[in-house]
Amino acid sequence: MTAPILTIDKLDLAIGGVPILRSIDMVVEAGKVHALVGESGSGKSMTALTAMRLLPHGADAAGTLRFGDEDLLTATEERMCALRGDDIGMVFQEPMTALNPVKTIGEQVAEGIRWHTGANRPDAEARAAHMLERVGLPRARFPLDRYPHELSGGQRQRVVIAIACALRPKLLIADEPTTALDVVLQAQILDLLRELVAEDGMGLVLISHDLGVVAGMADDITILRRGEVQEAGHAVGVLRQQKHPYTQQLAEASAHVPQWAGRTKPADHWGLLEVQSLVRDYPGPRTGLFSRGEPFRAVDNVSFSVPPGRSVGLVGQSGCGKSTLARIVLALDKPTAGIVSFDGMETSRLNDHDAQMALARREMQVVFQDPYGSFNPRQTVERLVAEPLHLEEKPLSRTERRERIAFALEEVGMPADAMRRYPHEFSGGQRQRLAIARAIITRPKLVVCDEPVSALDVSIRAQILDLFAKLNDELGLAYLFITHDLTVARAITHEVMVMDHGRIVERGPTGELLDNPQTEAAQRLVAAAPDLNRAIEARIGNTMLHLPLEGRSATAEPRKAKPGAG
Amino acid sequence: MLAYTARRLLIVLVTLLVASAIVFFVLEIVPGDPARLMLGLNATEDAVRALREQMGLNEPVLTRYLSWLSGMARGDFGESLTYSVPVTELIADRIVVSLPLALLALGLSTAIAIPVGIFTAARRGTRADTAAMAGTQLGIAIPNFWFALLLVYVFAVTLQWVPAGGFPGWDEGLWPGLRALILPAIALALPQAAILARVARSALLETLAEDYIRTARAKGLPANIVLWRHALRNAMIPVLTILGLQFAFLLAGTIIIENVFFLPGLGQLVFQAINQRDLIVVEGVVVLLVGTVVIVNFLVDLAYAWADPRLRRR
Repeated sequence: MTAPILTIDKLDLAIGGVPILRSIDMVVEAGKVHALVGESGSGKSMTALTAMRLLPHGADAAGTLRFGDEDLLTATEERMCALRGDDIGMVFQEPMTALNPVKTIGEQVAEGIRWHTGANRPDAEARAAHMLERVGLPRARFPLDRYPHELSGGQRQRVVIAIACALRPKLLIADEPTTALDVVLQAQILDLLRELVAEDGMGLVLISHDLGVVAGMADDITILRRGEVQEAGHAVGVLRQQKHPYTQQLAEASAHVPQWAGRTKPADHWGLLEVQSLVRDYPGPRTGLFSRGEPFRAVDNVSFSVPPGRSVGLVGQSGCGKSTLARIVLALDKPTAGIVSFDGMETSRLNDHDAQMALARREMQVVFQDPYGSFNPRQTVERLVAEPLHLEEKPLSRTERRERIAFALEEVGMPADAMRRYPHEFSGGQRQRLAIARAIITRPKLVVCDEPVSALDVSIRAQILDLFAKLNDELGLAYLFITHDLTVARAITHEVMVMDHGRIVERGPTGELLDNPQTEAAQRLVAAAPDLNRAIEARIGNTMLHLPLEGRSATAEPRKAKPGAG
Repeated sequence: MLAYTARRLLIVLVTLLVASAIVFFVLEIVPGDPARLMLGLNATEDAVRALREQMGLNEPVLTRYLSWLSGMARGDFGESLTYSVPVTELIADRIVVSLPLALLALGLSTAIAIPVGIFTAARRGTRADTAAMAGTQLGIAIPNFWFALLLVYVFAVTLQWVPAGGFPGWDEGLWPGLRALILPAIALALPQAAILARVARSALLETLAEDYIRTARAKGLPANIVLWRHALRNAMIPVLTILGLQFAFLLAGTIIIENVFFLPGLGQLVFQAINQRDLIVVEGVVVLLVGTVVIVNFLVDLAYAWADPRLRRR
């Protein structure tokens, strides 16, 4: 048993008088990964920010929060500045915005080193270069004078980790460090964190909502809900036994597969959506006053079809061209070459003012990822949901409009009185229901879904997946379902297509393809996808192997899970 | 960065060319024959015809535009109709007043606005912030000619620290010249400073809410250091935009202020020239103003690229 690095004891937190955390207990040990799990609003990020003492104004924390022997809640701001970045590091969720866009990565990594150690610039830069090397950004390919915008999301997250770990902190807090990344990058970043914990012996608080990730990473686990600890203990044990009803609920929701009649229905033989030899080039970067580099081929000779009433998944790493393809299918972008035809209309040749285009737009709708950003906050739900109705050939009468809206809201399980309210009055899951209501109000035949459940908590995600299944049954909707989450693809699609570098490299019935991927790209995705059961099995296997060597007999037996047990 | 600068320069040249064409042809279609205007109502037809010939007004319009353009490129803006002296000379006499005045006002407004913006952003929601913001409201609301009169009353008439108006010329030395410009500069700068301070404050507040500010805080940097090192440069883009626009306003704003303070500047010159239909002078001054604004915006573009590396590749 190693000494605890962070001991949280009966921590209460209120912001502006509203209680956020209630009596949180948690102990983080050196060289261990402690997972803090919960849905959005459960208080996991707030717990982390309390430990960093970076809470918003009006926050009021009580209890004890000991780092070693020091109480962080009573430490001066000066002392906290000395601890932050030196002894306690933090990695945030969104790598795209976590770095200052006007400073080079070298400056940003070296800054903390110079601040805490007083090292001169060359020394600090040498250390920064070394740290960047450790996180997988060798100086030869990623010189210190690179700016964040010149790096991809995964590379930026490595820089953020380098900043946090540059001074070998005793405690690293990672708040959903891989949620914004695709599965392959996620696996790489998790490996990196695991290595740093093993090599430097630091304690890691891993905040996540993904039980698959947690099962593969964590030694200990604390499950939060609405600011209270539900269950805590040895991670593998807690996740395997699932004693607590909430743990059980989370586990079920994360592996949820909707039951729907259309699942086994055979496919029609004609394509509602037909895509032939589609190519989309983007102009290359400027290289001189008038010259440009080689164009970038985002979509490369893609052909496929979606039969009516069929749900087809499109999976692939970020940057593989999924979203570009979706934009072209939706006729929001023109292809460089190739044909898109929808229900017999060649939409890739149509212009916005063509009558056929209105028909195509009516029959082909879209649901986006972000349920917050896709609504105008100043319009009522009635106006927002009714928006696509202007595509109708004849303007609808007032009563017809109302009926259509009421029908759409009812289909997605929202009360009719939602009409008069504004988007901010609804939760993320409800907003996504409203987005779906907006998509089905024109009675479309195809809905393109661009990561529609990625921003949602697991239990909400399960409900929305059920809704998609139900709408397929009741309205015969076909889906082009874009996702990087293979669990989601498995739950809601008949077939999947794997996209890689602009090409569709593999296509087949969902279950078959994901169980037995043939191409390298598909295998990479499947191997990287976190899976709760697989991770637990792997962990138990490992523990068994190591047991006789280490002579620890108690580890295999999960620690008795009791809420609040330190 | 070199390609970026070259591209911007190209845009500057094209803009200047288009602007000069617009100025020339708009004044061309304004009713009234300059030759007849110069000679007065009692002039004979012959005299008018002779003068038109002499002024080259009988040439085709494109030829005249090109010769006007090539003249300007050589620094020859033509000859004033009322004063019968080269426009270049008139402008040169006046610009030594107007340009220092505009620069002084710009410097003053920046020197007031940026610290106020930083101070209020760092102390958001405090009484000092509220008071400073109320002050900027007032600064925007007060018309600058009225504020100019107030300044004259307090500092020139009552306290007698500075002259109430007029300009002694730079020959008298730097200090008397500056003394004459300080009140007009303050009058010009105040409303600009008020706007700029508000822009700086809101840009800083927006930047301070960014994720990378939290990253910097997590490194252990204290809040005020984070503001200087990480927030300020990111907040500069909107500030630079407003600064560039304000320079144009300052030049235009001098017309009123120069009249209030009896300053022999470009504002007065163009005001009189318009009254006297001295179109050649108007053309010259307008082209000069357009040129200045275009060049200032070019400098702002370069400053953008300095502030934000993402723009350098465009």
